[in-house]
Amino acid sequence: MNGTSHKGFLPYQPVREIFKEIGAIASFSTTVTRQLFKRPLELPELLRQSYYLGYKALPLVLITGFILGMVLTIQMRPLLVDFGAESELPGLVTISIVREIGPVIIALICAGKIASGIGAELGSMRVTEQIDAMEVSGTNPLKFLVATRVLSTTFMVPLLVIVADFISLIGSYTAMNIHSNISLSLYLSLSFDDLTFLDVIPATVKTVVFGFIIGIVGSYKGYHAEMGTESVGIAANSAVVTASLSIFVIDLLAVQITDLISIL
Amino acid sequence: MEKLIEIQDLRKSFAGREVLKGIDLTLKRGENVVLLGRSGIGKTVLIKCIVGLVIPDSGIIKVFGENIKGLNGEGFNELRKKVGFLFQGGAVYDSMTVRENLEFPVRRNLMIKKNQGEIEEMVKKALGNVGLLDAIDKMPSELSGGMRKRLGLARTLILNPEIILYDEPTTGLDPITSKEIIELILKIQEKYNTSSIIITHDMHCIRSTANQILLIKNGIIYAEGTLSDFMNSQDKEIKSYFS
Repeated sequence: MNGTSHKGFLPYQPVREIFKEIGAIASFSTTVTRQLFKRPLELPELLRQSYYLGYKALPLVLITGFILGMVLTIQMRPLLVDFGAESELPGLVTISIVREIGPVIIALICAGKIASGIGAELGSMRVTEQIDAMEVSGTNPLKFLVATRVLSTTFMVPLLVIVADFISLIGSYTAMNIHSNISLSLYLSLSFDDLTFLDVIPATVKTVVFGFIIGIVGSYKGYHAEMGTESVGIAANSAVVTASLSIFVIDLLAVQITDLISIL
Repeated sequence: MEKLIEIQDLRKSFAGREVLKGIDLTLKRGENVVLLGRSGIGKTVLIKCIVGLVIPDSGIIKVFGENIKGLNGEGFNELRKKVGFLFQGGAVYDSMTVRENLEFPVRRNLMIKKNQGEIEEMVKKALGNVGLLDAIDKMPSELSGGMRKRLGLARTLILNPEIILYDEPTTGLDPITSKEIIELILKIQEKYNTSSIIITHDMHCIRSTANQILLIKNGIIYAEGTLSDFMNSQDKEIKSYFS
């Protein structure tokens, strides 16, 4: 078989590049995952990263969550009022937020804030040879820099989503009280009445995967930044784009899997 | 004299372009070897191969008589304790203070178990050697280019390496700071009996430090000799550096 026929299988350079990138990220993920089980555990760095990547993203996530709950309630309310089903509003909003909107929107926010931050930081460390210097100092940069960041995002993104979901409900409650007078206890009772484990568990598992993807994509882009300051910007930018796209693809797969489970 | 580094027929390509086409190099104890050559010719790649930051395509690199090809991660860590590397821009960790930059290699070296007091002493001694004791609690962003390079040098020195690889130690510095760095290199060599490979284009640095000079051209060693050999050479290429 000659080169021409091989190229004929995937005729477009961009398509080939996408598959190459997916393969490279998968291979990088395997290498990093292996590092997670090696000593030293790098606990201080893990905690430091959790603080910087998780806690520092909290204000943004809280504001987004609150607005999300409010907007969703304000938009849905007139429709449900027309059908005389206003009492269903808390349940509907809660299921929408917990199942889908909360995890995806917050993951996208984290992709924008955290993945770009990791991409830019590691990219800048690569360009200024700090990663090489670390290696020369007897430190495994994949373990110290990458594995700690990936583990942090894997833990912190689900926590941020849980907090954001709760704040969204507060936002929704606030929006409901603009037009009607409903107590918080009644609102929460109506909200959680329709919620089942099949809503909560898959959504939480999904956010763990989102967190891993945000960490791994940001790290991959930064760690493999080429020399030159321009590459730092490219690393940060492509980290956001790739992580966001990956979140949508994983979400699509997760929805299909959840759907199959609910049928079974 | 004992051979600390021996390189034979080293080859390295990047994306199909052969950068190093069979380099031979020897560094003896107490000696300073200067690498000369145009930018992008592969000088940094060569010294990065010595510490395993770049994996060569073929050839033999022996450091302290041991072929580095057979080394695993732990073996490289042991080697890197004895071979210091000063990066072109200093490569100081931006997120750490000057003190933390120096503590980092000490703490990370699992073989060195020291208490905080001992580490503090090592840090102060290393900073004292490069005249940066006053900046101990500063962030790298508060330091000048020369200070960053000196910090990089202090970090290299803190583990008392027997060999130091300098990647353009005076590039981008003003003449006075360059002179200070060169004096520092000589002082370190005298004090700790280190051997060095120095990549530089700075004639003052070459004149002050070189025991042996290697000129790399087209991926091979084009010329080799002492400073006086190079100064008296009639070769056009060599003359272009020393005129």
